[in-house]
Amino acid sequence: MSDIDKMIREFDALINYLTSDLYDPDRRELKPLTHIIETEDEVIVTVDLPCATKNDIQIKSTEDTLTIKASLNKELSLIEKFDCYNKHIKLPTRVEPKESKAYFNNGVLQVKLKKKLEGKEIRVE
Amino acid sequence: MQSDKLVINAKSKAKKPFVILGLPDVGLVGSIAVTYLIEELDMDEIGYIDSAVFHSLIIVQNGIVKKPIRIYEKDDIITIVSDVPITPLLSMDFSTVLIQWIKELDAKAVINITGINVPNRISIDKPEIFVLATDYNINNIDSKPFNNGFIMGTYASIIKECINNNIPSITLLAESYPNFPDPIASISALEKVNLITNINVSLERLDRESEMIRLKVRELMKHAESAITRSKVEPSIYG
Repeated sequence: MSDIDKMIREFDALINYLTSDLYDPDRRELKPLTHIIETEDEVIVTVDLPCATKNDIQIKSTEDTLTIKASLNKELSLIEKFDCYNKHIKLPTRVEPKESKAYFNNGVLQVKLKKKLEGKEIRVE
Repeated sequence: MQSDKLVINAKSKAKKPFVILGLPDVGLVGSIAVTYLIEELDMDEIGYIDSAVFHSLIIVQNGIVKKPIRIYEKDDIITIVSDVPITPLLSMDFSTVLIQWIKELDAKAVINITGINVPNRISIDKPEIFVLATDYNINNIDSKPFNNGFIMGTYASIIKECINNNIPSITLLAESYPNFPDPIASISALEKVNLITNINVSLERLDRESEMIRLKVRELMKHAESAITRSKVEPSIYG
């Protein structure tokens, strides 16, 4: 394969990286951009929520999922086709939902979820 | 000027211009900044960069078909903005051809605008700028020097080509989110562009419209994120 063929293939792959996971027009929902990292004891989920306000954000967590909903501020967004953000995230590891913390600043939400301790310590006798 | 793969078609009247690049990468800091400059300065489109690689893509703006990489000019400022990430295989050719074109302009300096990922970005209200300058005095812009770290990808190729061709370059790296569009980081970068070039562009509208801009450029961010993830090209600073 020539260099130009490789480049065309690479570019086509980029173009084909469809953005369907950014919108759900049938439900009038936007899917927010999301970034997930793991530390030793936390899963940190950061979600981009421009045109959302702190009081309109709903966060629900189970041991292995996180769901985020937020209304769009229509005065800011001017987007008539969409009403809200909605994102259901499968977490990379099990967490303790009750020990989660959320922080919102300048339209970005960060949820820190404490990892669930798996296994049981065995004492040596 | 052309190579086998990439063509620049543009005619400039500028004398010793600053050439400002905004390519889609970390936080879309450069793309947002340069697009804002083009709008705010009402710059004229003077040409484009094209490649067979872009065979399957056109950009439509207000019903007009545009090339994905476009060149604009106003007085002695030239801007280059791309609606597509420059993939690693294209980056060397892009840099070589672009810098040869810039050399013929006798440019005062090339200004690269990009982002640098900081893990605590959510707690930062005013992103800082790190500056890497080659053959250019930056004492007047009051920024932290980019002393240790690495830059990979297209901007690295451009900096190397600038050095090889004795063209001064200034790379502005704004603290930013890696995967989210970050217009506030673009504002920090443009404040430095104002100081370097004396164009004194008002940044008030960019601040006011920053949340809407973040909504509008989500798709480009996804494409850029894909390119960054695939090629691991985001800059990193040590220490």
